[in-house]
Amino acid sequence: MVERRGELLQGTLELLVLKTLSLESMHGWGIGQRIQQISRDVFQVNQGSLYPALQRLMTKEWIASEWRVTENGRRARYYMLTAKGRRQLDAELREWQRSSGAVNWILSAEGGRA
Amino acid sequence: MSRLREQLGALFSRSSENRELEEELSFHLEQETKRLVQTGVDPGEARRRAHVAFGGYDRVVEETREARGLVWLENAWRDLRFAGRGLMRNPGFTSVAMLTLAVGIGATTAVFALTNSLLLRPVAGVRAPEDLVVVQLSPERGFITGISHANIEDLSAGAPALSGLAGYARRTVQARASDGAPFEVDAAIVQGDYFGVLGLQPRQGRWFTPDERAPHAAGDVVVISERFRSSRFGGAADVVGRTLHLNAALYTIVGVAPAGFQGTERTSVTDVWLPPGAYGRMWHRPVDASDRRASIFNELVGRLAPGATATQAEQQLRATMTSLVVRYSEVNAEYVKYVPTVYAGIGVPVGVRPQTTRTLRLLLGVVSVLLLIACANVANLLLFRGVSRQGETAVRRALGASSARLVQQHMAEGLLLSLVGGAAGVGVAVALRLVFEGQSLLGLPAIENLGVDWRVISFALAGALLTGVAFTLLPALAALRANLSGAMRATGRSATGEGAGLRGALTVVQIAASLGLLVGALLLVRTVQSLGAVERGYDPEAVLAYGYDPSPQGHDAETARALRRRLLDDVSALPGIQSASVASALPVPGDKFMVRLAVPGSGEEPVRAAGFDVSAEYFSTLGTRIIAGRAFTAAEQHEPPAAGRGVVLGAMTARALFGDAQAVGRVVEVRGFTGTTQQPVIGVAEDVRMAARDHVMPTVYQPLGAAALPHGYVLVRSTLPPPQTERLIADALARIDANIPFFSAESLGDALRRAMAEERLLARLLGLFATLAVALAGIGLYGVVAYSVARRRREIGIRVALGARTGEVVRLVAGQSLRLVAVGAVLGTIGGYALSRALASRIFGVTPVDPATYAAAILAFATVATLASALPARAALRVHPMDTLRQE
Repeated sequence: MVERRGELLQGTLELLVLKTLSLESMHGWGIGQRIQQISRDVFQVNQGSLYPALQRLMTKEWIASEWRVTENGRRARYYMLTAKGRRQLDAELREWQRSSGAVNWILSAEGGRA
Repeated sequence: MSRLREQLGALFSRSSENRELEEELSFHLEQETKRLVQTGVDPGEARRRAHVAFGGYDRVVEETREARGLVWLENAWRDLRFAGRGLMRNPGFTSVAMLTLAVGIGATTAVFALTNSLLLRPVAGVRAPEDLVVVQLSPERGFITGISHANIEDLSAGAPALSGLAGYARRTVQARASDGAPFEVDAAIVQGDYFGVLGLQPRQGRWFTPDERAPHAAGDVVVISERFRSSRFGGAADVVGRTLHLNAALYTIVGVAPAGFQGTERTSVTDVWLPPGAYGRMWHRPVDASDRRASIFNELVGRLAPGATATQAEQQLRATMTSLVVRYSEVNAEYVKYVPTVYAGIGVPVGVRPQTTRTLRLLLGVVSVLLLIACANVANLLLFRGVSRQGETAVRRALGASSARLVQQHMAEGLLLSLVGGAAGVGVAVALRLVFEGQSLLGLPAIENLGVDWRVISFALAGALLTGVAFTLLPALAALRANLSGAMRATGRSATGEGAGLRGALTVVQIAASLGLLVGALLLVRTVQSLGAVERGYDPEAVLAYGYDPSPQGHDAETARALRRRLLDDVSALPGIQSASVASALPVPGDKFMVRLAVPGSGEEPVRAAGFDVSAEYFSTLGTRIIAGRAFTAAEQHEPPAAGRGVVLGAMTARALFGDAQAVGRVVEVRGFTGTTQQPVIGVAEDVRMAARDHVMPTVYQPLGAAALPHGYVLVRSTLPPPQTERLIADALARIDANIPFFSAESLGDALRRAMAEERLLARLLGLFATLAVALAGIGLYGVVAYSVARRRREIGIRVALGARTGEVVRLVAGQSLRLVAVGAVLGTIGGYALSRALASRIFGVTPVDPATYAAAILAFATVATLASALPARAALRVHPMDTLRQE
């Protein structure tokens, strides 16, 4: 799914962000850390590229943001999933599973009939 | 909706958003650094790694902001400011480019203003002008003819496709309000419900009632224009009910037309409207307007009924006309030849419409070419600038600016240039407007009020935007092609670049065209000078002439003669008047009464000569010498025409009739307006050059008493200034009849200049175009040379480093432009010769192949060309070898 390690396709990154935020609201750095953890470092998010992606999701109104204070008393912008974003995530997950299932099926069909 | 508001709000609170983004990103870097430190990395190294993991900070900021939407607006604003700063930094380039655009857009806008005034702008106050039509009664390809009130009414009744048909007959009348001085005013006698057909609402008072409109009504009511109210009644609010003297009869003002309405034709202005009954009162000729025979020259204007077409109306009118011819055969027989024709729209008189369209198209074509050249020149300048900024562009690209953004930046610069140029262009258009206004030109009717309204402004704006896109796109794309490595390679290349051939050809065409125009303009300027210098046989500047016409006030031949006699006596007795006389015509170009002269019994072809009826002092007022015999005496001057009173011949006429033989004492047969008489020649006068050129018109003088028409001119030589002289003579006339205004009051010099107006206008126009063309060609040349210098900077630098001398560098740079100028000059000289052939009939006092004129034009052009290539050449000389190397 990645051309090179560290460079995610734009749509994939957005899907991962939505998935991450569906678990809990989080700030930008946290989202990057979480994606890397969940994917066991398969997806190494180019940290900077996260922010334009977040802004695109905001523009689509799939996520919203607000400034909160972290446990350490530091101001940070937290992102959360909107209802619209949740619907979008569900739709994309279904689509993803169907197509990736199909790809897996094709790739695992060893050899093929002659 | 709310999102848009949010976005707009975001745009305006942009700086706070940017602060927030910065805060967010620094939080991220802080967290990452902290995490790395916790894993045991040294803090400094941790910060470095955090930054590396983050990627290009500025790029992230840029992309995030672009993702925010409406960013294009922010970008546009930023680009405009950036472009503004760039343009300010380079005032030479900016002013040249702006001037070029101002010229191109200005000329185009001026022609559009002309088109707008003639064709687009609706006639003020008129309801639904698209339904109005002009109806003409004319033979095929012939002139319009008169029509009677009764025929108009029957035509209207027979054409249900027209909801109304009205006529108007325009006449100049003499007017006087209460105790003021008399003046001339343009009036229209209207037939039928004129104001109703046009759908006009009176600004004050009312229109004519059906009773007042009846042909037998007294017709002593008048409607005036708003302009007339403000100029002649000082804008008084209570003009309705006041009276006005028109041609010696008294009329009561019943209404004021809406502001701006001056009749339906743009080529004339009407200030007073009268009902049909006024016709007889006005011209002291009782006209029974109800008489089918009483045709007057009416223009007809109609309104199409809802859903009806002009074709239907025309068919109905033609059928009705045919039946009217049959029904009133004895009076209407002649109308068999005259077929009603319906023309859509009002404004431009039907007769001049084809010429108007043709000339407007021609003008539009000329200014389009001008605009195209201006565009090409600015594109050239931008290309040159683009090359000199290739380094900058390459760096911006390397820093991550997208292609689209770079094009946007170029466009912003172009748009800013074209908008400012367009604004300046409106100024140019206003100035050019003064050239066109009130002047009849190339068959275009003179326009009285050439306004710059919102249509003209929008046109200039749209033109500027379009122009901006046109001349920016090419250089922008060129800049785009120049990618990082390409830019480096391009500076190294010494080629003049792709498109150089096209640019060179364009410059040659510009040079040739401007040189040709310059030759034509100079020939016309010399023509005007020669015309002014024609020896006329008298000093036209010293003679003042005042035209008066007593006939509208009801004077007949007898009272007019008495008035003339008293006027001459009174004016001669005025203080400060050195010499006074009265004549039936002025010795300037214009219509003259022609008479035929023959030597009785000779059987030879009669000589056609302009007939002047003059008082005794006429020759001394003008300063024309009597070369044989004598002038008329004071006793003879007022004598009515009779045989044996005697005539004075112009020298040329005397020669034509009698050869070198003595003319005085011989008898000539004079076949004139009032009959044929035999007259002795009592004197021969020096010839007076009347025409604009040095051409002499054969002339014969008779005593003033022979004048067939009541009007005449008072000619004086005065020691007083002209305004004072005019007042004195006007007072003298007012003491005889207070209602007669002067229809002209000017020196004969002014009258002659007016007769040369066309030559002067042509010289001015051609001079204007030539100046513009030379300026544009100079700019074009500059662009080409500057572009090549910019591209060859490195080569020049290396040559200088290798020891090239100044002369060699200049040759390198200017050689190309010299070739262009040489080819252009040859073509331009040929073009100028062709133009001078076309102008041959208008050229006077200078030959079309006048070497001095050609030399002057080529010299003038060479100066501009030298300047245009010297500037970039100087820049080339300043190239320091080290600079070029450092640039690499």
